[in-house]
Amino acid sequence: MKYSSFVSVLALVAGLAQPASAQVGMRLPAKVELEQFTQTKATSFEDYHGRALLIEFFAFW
Amino acid sequence: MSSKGLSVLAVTSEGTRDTEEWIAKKQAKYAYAYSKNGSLGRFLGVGGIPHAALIDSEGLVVWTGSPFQIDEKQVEALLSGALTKPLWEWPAAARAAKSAYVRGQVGTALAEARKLAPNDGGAEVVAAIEAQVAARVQNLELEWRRGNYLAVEDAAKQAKTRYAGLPQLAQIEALAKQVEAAPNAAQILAAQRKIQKLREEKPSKRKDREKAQDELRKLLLEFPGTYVAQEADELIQDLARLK
Repeated sequence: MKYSSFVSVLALVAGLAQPASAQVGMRLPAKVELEQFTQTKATSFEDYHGRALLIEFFAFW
Repeated sequence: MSSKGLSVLAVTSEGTRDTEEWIAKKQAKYAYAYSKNGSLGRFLGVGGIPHAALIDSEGLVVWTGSPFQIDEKQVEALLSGALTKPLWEWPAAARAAKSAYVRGQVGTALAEARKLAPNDGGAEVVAAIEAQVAARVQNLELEWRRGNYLAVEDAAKQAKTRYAGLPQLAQIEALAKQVEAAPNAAQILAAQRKIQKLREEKPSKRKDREKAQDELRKLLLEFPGTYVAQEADELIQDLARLK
């Protein structure tokens, strides 16, 4: 799926844009608690180790 | 961009049943996962949906904001130093290499990958790791030239474990020595650590944010035209945007 299509899907749940935050420049915690990885062969956040990552927060509503 | 090192992961803190129904209805095909306790969102300062974050290959948050404002060039810049072959695509025989890689022992991971038989897919893993290590050293040289001494110092601290047995270890140690010998290195490193601390403190009260901004303005005056000034200026602006 192209990135532009991915963003378009998220547009369906559009909300207000959030400003840049002071989290920039910080490192992710050693343990990131995510579960039920779906539509990917990754089974834990550890599997993304070493990859550049775009994280998109979404909601079904 | 996946083959160049980018992964996209959607994250939700909503309930499984409603989310699964929504995904099926929308026929969404992207990778997603659940953050049941919402800790990742809190860490990244998510205050509304949609919200996105770009993370570099070393786990550093490089941007957060609306997904509609993502700059493609910013994403492309992240790819240098990213692993082109994600861990879930590494062959089963590369288990030891993967385990070492996840522990941050890149040199050991490479040594393990080199032990694999040709038909076990080791060559691809070796190529991916070698390319990443070369790019990371190149990036670090760039950071040194930009005046980001702290990035060099931090990398050098981890290098013995991370790059044991690799020729790049000596390159990183040489960069660290250049930092040590640079004029005003101690003051610059202290200023960078101060900025890092202020960033991590994330002051929630307006009064504290203003105090932090005052301290950053002092650094702007003290280190004009340097990487320190750039970092200080960026954080002043970020703090000003926080409500």
